[in-house]
Amino acid sequence: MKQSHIRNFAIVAHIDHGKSTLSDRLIEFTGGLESREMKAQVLDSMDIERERGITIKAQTVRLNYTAKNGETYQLNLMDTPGHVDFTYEVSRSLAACEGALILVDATQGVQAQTLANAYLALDNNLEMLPVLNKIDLPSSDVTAAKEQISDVIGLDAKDALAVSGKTGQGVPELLEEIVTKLPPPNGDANAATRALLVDSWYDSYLGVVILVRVVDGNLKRGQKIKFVATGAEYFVDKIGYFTPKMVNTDELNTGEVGFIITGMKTIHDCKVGDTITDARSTVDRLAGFKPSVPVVFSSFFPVEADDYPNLRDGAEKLALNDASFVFTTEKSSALGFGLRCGFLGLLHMEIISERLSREFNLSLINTIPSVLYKLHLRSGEVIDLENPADMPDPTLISFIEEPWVRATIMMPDNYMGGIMALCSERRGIQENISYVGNRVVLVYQLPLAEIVFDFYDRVKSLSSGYASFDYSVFGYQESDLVKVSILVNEENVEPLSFLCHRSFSEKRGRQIVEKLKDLIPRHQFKIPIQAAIGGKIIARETIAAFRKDVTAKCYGGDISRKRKLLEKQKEGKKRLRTFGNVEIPQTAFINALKV
Amino acid sequence: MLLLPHNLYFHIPFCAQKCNYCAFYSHACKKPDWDKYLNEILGEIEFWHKKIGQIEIPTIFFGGGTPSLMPENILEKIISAIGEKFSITPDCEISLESNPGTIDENKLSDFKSMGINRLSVGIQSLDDETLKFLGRIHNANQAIDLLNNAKKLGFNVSADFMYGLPNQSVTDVKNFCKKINELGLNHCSMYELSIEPNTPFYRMNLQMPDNETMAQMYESIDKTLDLPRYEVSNYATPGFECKHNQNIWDGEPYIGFGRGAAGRPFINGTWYEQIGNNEKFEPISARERDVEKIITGMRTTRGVKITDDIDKILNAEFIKSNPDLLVIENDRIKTTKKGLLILDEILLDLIEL
Ligand SMILES: Nc1nc2c(ncn2[C@@H]2O[C@H](COP(=O)(O)OP(=O)(O)O)[C@@H](O)[C@H]2O)c(=O)[nH]1
Ligand code: SF4
Ligand SMILES: [Mg+2]
Repeated sequence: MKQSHIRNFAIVAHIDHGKSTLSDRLIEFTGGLESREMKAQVLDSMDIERERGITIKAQTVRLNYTAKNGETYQLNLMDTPGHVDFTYEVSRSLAACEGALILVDATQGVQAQTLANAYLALDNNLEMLPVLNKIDLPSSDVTAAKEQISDVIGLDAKDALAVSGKTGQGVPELLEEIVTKLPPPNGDANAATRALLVDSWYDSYLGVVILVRVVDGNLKRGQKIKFVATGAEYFVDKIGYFTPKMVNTDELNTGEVGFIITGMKTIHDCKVGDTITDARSTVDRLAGFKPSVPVVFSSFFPVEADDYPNLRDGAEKLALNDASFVFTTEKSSALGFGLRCGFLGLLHMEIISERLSREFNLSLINTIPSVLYKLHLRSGEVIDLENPADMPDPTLISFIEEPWVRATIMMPDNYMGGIMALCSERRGIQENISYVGNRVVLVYQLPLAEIVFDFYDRVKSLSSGYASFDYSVFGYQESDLVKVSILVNEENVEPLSFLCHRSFSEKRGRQIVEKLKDLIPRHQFKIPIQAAIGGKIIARETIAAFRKDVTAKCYGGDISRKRKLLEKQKEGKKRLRTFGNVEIPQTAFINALKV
Repeated sequence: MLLLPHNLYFHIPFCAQKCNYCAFYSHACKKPDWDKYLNEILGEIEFWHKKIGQIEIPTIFFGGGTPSLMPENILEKIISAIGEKFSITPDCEISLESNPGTIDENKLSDFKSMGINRLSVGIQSLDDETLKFLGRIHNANQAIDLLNNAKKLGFNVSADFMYGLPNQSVTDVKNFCKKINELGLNHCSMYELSIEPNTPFYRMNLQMPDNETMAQMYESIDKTLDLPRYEVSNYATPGFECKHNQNIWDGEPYIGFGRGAAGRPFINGTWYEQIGNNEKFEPISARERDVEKIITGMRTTRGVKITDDIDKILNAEFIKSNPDLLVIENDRIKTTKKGLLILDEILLDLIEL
């Protein structure tokens, strides 16, 4: 296809503003799939994506569109993830595009992620096309949404199209605008091949599938190619594109988006953002993008020690398709072998944990999530600390730095007070405040550690669900941090220890200790539960002993019930870990965090 | 064919009125259909006779519900059918549960002449207000009259009581025990009130004594009652223990008659889980049966005899490391006084599955 007839674009939107639904309509209108093949939200292919209604992996689809001028165009639509944790993956998709649809739910208006994603599009020099969605709903307010787009994002929205992903209204006009208003790619067809490695995933039949955007030259079947960063060379076995079905072709030309398959065995052999070229050429690398960095860390231990190999196996399988999920083996004196894992955010962590439990039938203990701290030792050495268990003796530490984020929160103004109080309670520093009609945009600097726990949940509940939130890490700052340990029956339960700001240590410690009091069942002895900093106890609760549990009656009829109950309880007991003679149920580790 | 003696349990699912705490299988019923009940029971007796033959019967227990509601002729027909189809041993213990207000002296003496030799009387409390609160149909005097009548007629008498009631104190329980001592019983059961789903008490949000108080009450009963404890909730002058229950707790075979009545027949070397009136009859493994023997046997103060098979499912390590909870004496394993209180927890560690 001639470059002038190619349009590469993404749809960016706040979660639930209708990105997946609109993508489906675009596929349908251009005949990508027969209507009997259409199932709701074609692009959300993972079960968990469908269940949670969020897109995790970026997907891509090629649409052939015959425009009013009679010409046929190739539209490459890049779907993008819709949750703050996956911002990184959004920027990956955007790097392969020239344009972006900024999709806004006209019943909701501009939200924090709309803004954050619009900025990403701007950073990538994309042409932006504002689109208003859900106009079939009586509560939609196109005029107000247009005003917000110009006021908040600074985009001219006077002529923005109004559509309904549900009914298809406005979709033909939108396709026309994609062709007329978004620019074509402008690579050099005669130069040496340069393609951007956008994403990769593992397919059990095909091996590693690599998603590419050809920038200059072309890629052909049978061609020997080179990955510039790694230096690895492979032959292109298969080449093609998605409709969203996989279609094989002979080549991908300048400006096109598609896949190649090279016989590569694991995705760890290819680096997302790398440049692919002909094996014989020497080219400058494309700008690419920064590798994803895990920001939240937690250790996963199997409740039953025998399950460690299954855990490892499961994690390896998930990592095949998720380059952002990283892990290493960890050995804990209390919990045996486990995995220290890094995630893009708390949601990412929950998804991985849930998939491991569900798909690999594992019962896991997750340690309290932590962020990556920078420890400046007195010796002058700087070390990364992402596991509170590895905290060196405090006397060796000169100072500690923690990651900070810039958070954008948007909400109707009547919720502003509560949200601002929450931000300052979380050590936030106000950077900016602006109004759009009766809505407020707050920009705060916040320590990442203060938002990874339950910040988003709190924001949602303080605003009855109306506030939206987005953040990105901007740097490290020195902070007065202490390690809080939790002692159960005088024994340190390392998986429950955490780092936190000194001014919060007592409150956090007390919350966790109170929570544990309800989560740990009574034993035959009194159980003190304490939070401590070094040797100093900062909070204490006691679980009273139970002294009597024997059932009053057991006659003929109760015996089967008792035996079956015993069998069940014994099974349950296997799922407990013992610390200081106290059996702590698995649920306690997860729920202790939810203060 | 190996024919072991079997103990027989008959369930009588009728009561004059439902008590507020009761979750037993029984219906409040003005005029139970006794003929229908009799026919069912006779059918079951015939069934077991065919299945298992002329087995020896060391004990029979009529439980409920309220067996003392049974008309004389009904009980008589049941007992004579048992006598025809099985062989009742000469010293067979035949117990019957009764409630004050459902049986007079005449009926009592008729029952005696039919062969009932042990009478268990549901008294629960010696305080009229408490009896009302519990939803009992009788007062304390009626209960004591029934006890005295039964003693006079030569029954081996037992009484059921209940403690751990809302707002009760440890002192209240001690005083209660002292009053019970005055009754001069050779056997009594002391049940802690437990709030069961689907009972009026369950919906009343009662302020129950806490776990520590319950434990102290339990310990004070053992100290205050004249009768020594021989099972979690049962106390008797040595020699007056309920043979029927003791046999069941020891893991002897038994058959349940009547709807909902559980049994453990042992036929041709196989144990069965059985529920009366053809509701269930399924083999269970010898090992499962041994687990049950431990569950029930450990509730008795004489404990469980450690046979080779029992030994295999006991956690020796746990026994050794918990001498304050468990002891082994004369090849029997039993709990200490402290251990008995937390038997349910102990069983989880003691039994290896
Ligand atoms: N009424 C109406 N509902 C829509 C429209 N587009 C999407 N939805 C609904 O909005 C919800 C979120 O849509 P989805 O496409 O999953 O949003 P995404 O999170 O941006 O991918 C779903 O329940 C859709 O059915 C629309 O144009 N009109
Ligand atoms: S008399 Fe006994 S069986 Fe009947 S309702 Fe009362 S407690 Fe339950
Ligand atoms: Mg979606």
